Amino acid sequence: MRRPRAFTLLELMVATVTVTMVAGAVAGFLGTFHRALRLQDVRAAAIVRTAAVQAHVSRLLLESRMVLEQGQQRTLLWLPSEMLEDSGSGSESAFDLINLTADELHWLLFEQEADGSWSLKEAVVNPATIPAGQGDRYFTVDAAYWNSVFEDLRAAGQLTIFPIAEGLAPMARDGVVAAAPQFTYGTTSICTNRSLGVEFAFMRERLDDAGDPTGEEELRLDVRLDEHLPFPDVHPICGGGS
Amino acid sequence: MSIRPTTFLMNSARRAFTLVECLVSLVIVAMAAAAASTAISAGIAAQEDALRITLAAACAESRMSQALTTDYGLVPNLAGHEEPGALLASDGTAMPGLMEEMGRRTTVAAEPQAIPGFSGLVLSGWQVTVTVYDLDEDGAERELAVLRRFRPETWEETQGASP
Repeated sequence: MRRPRAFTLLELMVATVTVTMVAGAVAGFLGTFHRALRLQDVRAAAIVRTAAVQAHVSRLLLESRMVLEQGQQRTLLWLPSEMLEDSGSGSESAFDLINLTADELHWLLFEQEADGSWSLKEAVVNPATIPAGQGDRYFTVDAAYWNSVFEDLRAAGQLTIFPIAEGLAPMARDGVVAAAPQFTYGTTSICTNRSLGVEFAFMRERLDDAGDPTGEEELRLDVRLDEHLPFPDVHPICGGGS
Repeated sequence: MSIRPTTFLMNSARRAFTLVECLVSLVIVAMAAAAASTAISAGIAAQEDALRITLAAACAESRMSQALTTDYGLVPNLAGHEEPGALLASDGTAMPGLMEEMGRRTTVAAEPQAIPGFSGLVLSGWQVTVTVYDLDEDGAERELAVLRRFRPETWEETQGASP
């Protein structure tokens, strides 16, 4: 019977090197595989959220009469609850009335979360929180007034705020990253403006092996959406016919 | 009846893998890894296309909504071609990132539309077509999104008012 022979040092070294190389290759492949799957998830989320934001903003603009407040991080859309013809044949007094309990005011706002990311949210008035007889507001071109309406309603807990898209970042243009996601407008006057631009980005940082952000961008998708008011009613204060 | 290990099993317990067996197994593993890599690459490429198509649809929609809200008589002024790199948002600012790599064609044609079921009723209006494309590696145009809509002349506009 043949006596079993031990491995030589050379055989052990070759085996060790081979196993190490194979293990390294497998680990590298698995790492690439994991990163690719993660990137796919991020991209899929970006596609879905972009489409969702566009559909949501487009629908709101379609139903809007005017953009009442034109802030960079907050905009206010007026969705009339009645046709102009049904509200006193377009008389100025009827046109003026904005009823808080009739779901006429819709704010879109970008807000920064505790983790530094941004969310696009919509705020509407919760009609159940408005005391009887206190739901009437009147048209004005004064942005400070609409700002105070929002702040007062929010402070009183009379707004329902829900997210449209989360995990957003400021958009970059020509290599320069903005301070925050923002809204843009066709003109600075609410009387003549008919368009709303929405600028944001999806940005995901590369993670290290421990799962901590490295500060490097793994994915950046800059998005600029443009929507227009198809059926604007121009208030008499703005020079529109009554 | 007693059960005894076969000679084959007894021999195989003492036999190491041959070089050919090792090579075959390595080749199988390599092929599986290559197939997985190809599948992942194809998935990433398909997602990249989906991203571009989503953004292209946004670019097209931007132009279309502008066409549908522009005063009727001024709609033909929107017809034109924006080369990749020259695409502008409605406020005149440059488009960002991947959107900047896209081009956009807008055509406006006068095409009165007959309304089925209403004999003799013909609406005058513009047929607006917006096409967004990018360029492939060879510089050839690759169509990403096409929108076509009819912009009718409203009754108010026939009276000389804005919509």
